[in-house]
Amino acid sequence: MRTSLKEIENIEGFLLQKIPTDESLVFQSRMIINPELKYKTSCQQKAYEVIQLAGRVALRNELMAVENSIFKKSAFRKKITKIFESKN
Amino acid sequence: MSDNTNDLPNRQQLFLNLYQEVFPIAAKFIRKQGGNLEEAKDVFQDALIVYYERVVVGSGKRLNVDSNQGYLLAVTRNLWYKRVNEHRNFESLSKANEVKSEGQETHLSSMKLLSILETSGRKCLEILQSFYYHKVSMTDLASQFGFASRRSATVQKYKCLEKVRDQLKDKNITYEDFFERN
Repeated sequence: MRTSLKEIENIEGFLLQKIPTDESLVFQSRMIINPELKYKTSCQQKAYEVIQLAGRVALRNELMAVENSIFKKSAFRKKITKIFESKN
Repeated sequence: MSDNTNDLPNRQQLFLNLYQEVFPIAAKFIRKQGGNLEEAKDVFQDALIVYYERVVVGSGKRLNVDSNQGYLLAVTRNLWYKRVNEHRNFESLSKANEVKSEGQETHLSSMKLLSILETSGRKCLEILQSFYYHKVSMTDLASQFGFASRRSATVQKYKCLEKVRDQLKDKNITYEDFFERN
């Protein structure tokens, strides 16, 4: 694996807490003396957040597709409609 | 919880079952609370996302209930009460400040998100979401995406992550940029 990817792996270990505490402390020290590493770590954190948000958007689309398909089934639609037509 | 929910057909089947079994009960609850069908659909959809992230692929944190159905209903009830409280608070705030509520809500800019991720390529996007969101193991990911080994899948995953990270670096995009006001 090339050096830049190895560095990404190390940053991931720190950010996703895959490494032991002592290694994590060493990584934090490296960030203090190396602003570029600190910046890359910050960008990588943002990348995880973007992936997480995009995953959630995609999941919501999947749920909407399932919801649409189940409400096309007459028996299910009637069952639910009846709930909202009835008095409390 | 289970590896077989990591691919789309199995997820769809899981959600279909939950809609069939749990949604009618959730709908009755929301109806009793004075909600309508659209609100029931919205709240249940949010509850399913919480359920998926926490239970299906999450660390297994659960409320003190035994069944998945119970968990989902508990989340639905909590989200409903939260929604009602937020609506009440928002109304009282609006009255006090004479602020119009329309158009003030923030929405996720999914187009902006996707445009960034799509620069890394469709396959990269799927690999990253599979691993980091759906928590597919590297072994399963290698198999699903046709990599010769777990190691080569790992290398590809880091290459994809590097592309996304560099995209964020170049554009100096902040987390807040993923939200926009209507």
